[in-house]
Amino acid sequence: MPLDHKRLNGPEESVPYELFLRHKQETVEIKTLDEVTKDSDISREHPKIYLKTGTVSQAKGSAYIEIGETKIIVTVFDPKEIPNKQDYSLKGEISCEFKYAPFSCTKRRLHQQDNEEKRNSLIMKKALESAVCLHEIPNFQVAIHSLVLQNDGSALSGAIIAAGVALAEAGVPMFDIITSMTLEICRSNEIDSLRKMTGQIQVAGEKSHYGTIIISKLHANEQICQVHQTGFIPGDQLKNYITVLSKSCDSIAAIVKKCLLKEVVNHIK
Amino acid sequence: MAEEFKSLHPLKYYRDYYSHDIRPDGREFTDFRPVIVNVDSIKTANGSAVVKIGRTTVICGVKAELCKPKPDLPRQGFLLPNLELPALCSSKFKSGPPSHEAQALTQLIADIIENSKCINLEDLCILTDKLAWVLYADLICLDYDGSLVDACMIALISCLKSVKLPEIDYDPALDIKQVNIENMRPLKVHFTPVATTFAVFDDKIILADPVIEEENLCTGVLTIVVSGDELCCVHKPGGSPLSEEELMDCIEKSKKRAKSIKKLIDKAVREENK
Repeated sequence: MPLDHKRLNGPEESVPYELFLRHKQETVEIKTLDEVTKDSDISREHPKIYLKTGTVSQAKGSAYIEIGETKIIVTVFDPKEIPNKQDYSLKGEISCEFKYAPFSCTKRRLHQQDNEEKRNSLIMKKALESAVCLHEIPNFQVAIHSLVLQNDGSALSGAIIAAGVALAEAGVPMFDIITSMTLEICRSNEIDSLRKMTGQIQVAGEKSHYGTIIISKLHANEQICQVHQTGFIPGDQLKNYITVLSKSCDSIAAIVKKCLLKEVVNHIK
Repeated sequence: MAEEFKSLHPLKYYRDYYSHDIRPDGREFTDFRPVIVNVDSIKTANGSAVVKIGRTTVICGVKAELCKPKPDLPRQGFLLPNLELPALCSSKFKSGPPSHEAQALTQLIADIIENSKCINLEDLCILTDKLAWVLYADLICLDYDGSLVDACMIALISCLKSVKLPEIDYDPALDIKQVNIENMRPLKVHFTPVATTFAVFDDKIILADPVIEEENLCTGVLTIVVSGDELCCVHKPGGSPLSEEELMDCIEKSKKRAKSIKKLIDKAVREENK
């Protein structure tokens, strides 16, 4: 990798000490989808969430979210003219930046945006485009920046929820409240090498099925505006997983509404 | 009405306040904003701290990794404080490579840490010329509302005080490393350098702990770093000239503040370790 002259550089090579651990970590237990649906009220099946608006004073709108142990901060700035554009466009644009802080994951992240972060920026942009009234801000661009301070699952979903709240606080015209959730299907034959993630729903897959599903939902008309799936799961199972995610999105929507209401009440005072 | 006046004639707005010996946020010229320190809130880092001075917010996280020491300094480990000013902290910054300001401040902070000798780099060496710790201390500004160096220094020092490193058994003959995670030892931080920023307004008024608008409008900024009773860095990048008495007065004030900040940091770290 070329040397980054704009930062302080250490040794050329360094390795995380976790590679040389003497003891193996203890195993975790993960339920299958049937167990999850059977023994609990499915609508409550989502991690604990804390949501707060107005955390960054310099920004037009901002939000801080904690999902389980995942911590994310999102800011939205005033719309400005789309840079490097010759002709007039009837629709506005949003630009998203998704970034992990170097210390946010178990493995240290680099300062430059890597491919995963770029992919997440793009998913976030697509999800939010369906919630913002782009025709109301012609020829303008709204910049959304998100920074993951600690990642314990659902980082992308958290960023989408927080961005929705931050956009609302910034006064950007929107169609609807947007929520999002991540579900991870763990390989059942590798269950001892798994790490419990507090931020996302985890279920054990049947046979060797595995993968991650992220959905975003708009609530007024019960529309799912974005689905992202990776891994290997049979098609008929996908529907069940999406039902679980959709229900947990519904309960998150209640939290988002409460948070926005609080913001409005504070504003009137 | 005041809001409109502030955005149309910012300089006059501030001058009017100052002529009545008060600042727009209700502080007197020499008052500091309240400081909040929160230690060890990021569990994925080896040590972390969030610091708020008024509305200025800085987060610092340390990730420790293993490496081979440099051939010219075989007994030393590494401590790399990098400051990031991301686009999310202020509309002034763009995303992409670090701005000039971020680079200049990174160097300033690295110099302060090196000069104050608060970390003995030899403590970070595990085996001479073979194995050492590298501490990546990443400072990220989350809200840019003035006196950034002050917040960065408090965040970095509280973060370093909360760092715990595991014990390592290293067999150089076979090159086998074993990490004993149950035996975590805190890093020794020998001194507590505390930075205090002042702004000079209209060549005569000295404002302690300026907010971002004051920093932008003032004619000079002065940052003094003291560690205990000793002066460790005075950074005054041009601007209005100051008389000797004024400078000494600022240094006295920084010393007084450093004492209370040191108490605050120690208390925050102690509470967390309980």
